[in-house]
Amino acid sequence: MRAKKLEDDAWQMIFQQHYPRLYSYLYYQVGNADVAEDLCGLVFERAVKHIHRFNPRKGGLAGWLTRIAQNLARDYHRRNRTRAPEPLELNEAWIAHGKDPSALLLAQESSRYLYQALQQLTEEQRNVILLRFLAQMKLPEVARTLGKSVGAVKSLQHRALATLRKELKKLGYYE
Amino acid sequence: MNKLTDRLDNAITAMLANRAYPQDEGLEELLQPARMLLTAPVPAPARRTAQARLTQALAMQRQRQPAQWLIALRGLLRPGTLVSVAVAATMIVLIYLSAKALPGEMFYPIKQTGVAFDSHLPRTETSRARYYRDLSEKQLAEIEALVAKQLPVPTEALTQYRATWQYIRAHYPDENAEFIASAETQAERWQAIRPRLAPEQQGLAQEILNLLQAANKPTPPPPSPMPEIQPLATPAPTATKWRVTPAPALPLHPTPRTATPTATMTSTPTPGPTATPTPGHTATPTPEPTATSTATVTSTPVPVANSTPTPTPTPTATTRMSHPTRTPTPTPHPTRTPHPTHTPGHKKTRTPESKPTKTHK
Repeated sequence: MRAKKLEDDAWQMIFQQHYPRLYSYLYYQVGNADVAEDLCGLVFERAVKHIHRFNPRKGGLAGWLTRIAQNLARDYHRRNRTRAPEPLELNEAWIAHGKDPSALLLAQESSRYLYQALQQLTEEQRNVILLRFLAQMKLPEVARTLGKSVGAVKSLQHRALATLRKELKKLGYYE
Repeated sequence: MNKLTDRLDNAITAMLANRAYPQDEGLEELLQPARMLLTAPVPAPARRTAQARLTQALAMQRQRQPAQWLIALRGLLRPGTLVSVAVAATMIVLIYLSAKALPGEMFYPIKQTGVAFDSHLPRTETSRARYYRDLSEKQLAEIEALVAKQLPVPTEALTQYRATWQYIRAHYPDENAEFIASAETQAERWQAIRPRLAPEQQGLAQEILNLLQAANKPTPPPPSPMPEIQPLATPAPTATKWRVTPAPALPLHPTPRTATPTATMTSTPTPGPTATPTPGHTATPTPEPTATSTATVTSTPVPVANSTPTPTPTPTATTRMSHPTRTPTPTPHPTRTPHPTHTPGHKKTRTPESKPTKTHK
């Protein structure tokens, strides 16, 4: 594997392929674009450092990187346990999105609703939703990452979506 | 409920893969937040920062990267590999330690296990003979080493040494030059160490010496190329009255080692011995690879008195045999194996049978 030989090209390819979904996952985990960016950089740093431990037979690279991201997010929450979840930050990062003002406003609003609704889920449910939809992991990979059976993850996914809908409705997102 | 979770997951999988999924009213409410999650807006990431960190991490890691041999060593240090390596190393150490072990020592049973395994390996007849010759020499060397170190020789070691020679005597012919030479040397060495064995082991030591001496004695040559067939000494209760006498002169083939003796069988109504050759007196020559002699025995029974023998089809036996070196006399050694003429791996020789059938009037 070229990545194990620390070849630049291989790592740039990995970065381009996995950065967006890792960033999205971390953004909705921590609720802050700067922190998500920082953690995302850290994911790749750790991946480079521990690539010799990566065993393709135990799962794909996507799953391995997501597990690193998940551990970093967990550490972040542990360190900031006493602090209440931050309201989703709206900053210049959104402006850099390059959308027209009305679309930008709508995206910001959707993002805030979603983040608030996600905070109402249990930690397990939130993990399943973020890994499945934002990290775009397959169900067996989610199950392996969380140490649960596929059936249990399906069940958690179902309950999480039901709760999300209820919360979004409560927030006024759905009529 | 299970069906609902399965249907829901199938729809989500299709959505994630940008595939169409069947419309299901029961799922619609749940799929609304799912769609929202799939298009969840995120602020534009400042990729440059993360990318710069990746480049820096790669540069640092290259500096820190251990040598290839260390990486390979790390691979070896995985638990599974480590256990296998440990087991293999232990085996090697045990085999090494047991290789020089002497009877009575801690690792000697391991050595014996190896010998037992080795003895069952498939070999040709020649290499098997060599294996047993070498084994006997190793066993003797072990006993000698114990004696030299003034350590007690376990009786088991003597028993095993004796068993090896018993096996050799039972399975290999006397004419095997390798064994004769080896037995001679070993007999000399044995006589040197025998007095230093424990008194209670002297009987066993003598048995071994007898075996070795019997093995290195050359077999005397036969009295005649054709063994004489003599009747049984015990009188037969039946009216069998045949005596077989060989022809006085045996015509020989031009080939120096090939003889075709012709024996004429004459029936004489003598009252007693039957013309049944005893198994001990049969000519069972030990074959040598090149020496063959063909003996043709033609019996012509002549009836005398009341007995009228019916000529049998042809009691002519053509025997492939080496120059017959084995005498029909009993073996002089008390430790001879019950079947001294058994020669494994060689073509069995046939004894010319001269037992004609007859009818009585």
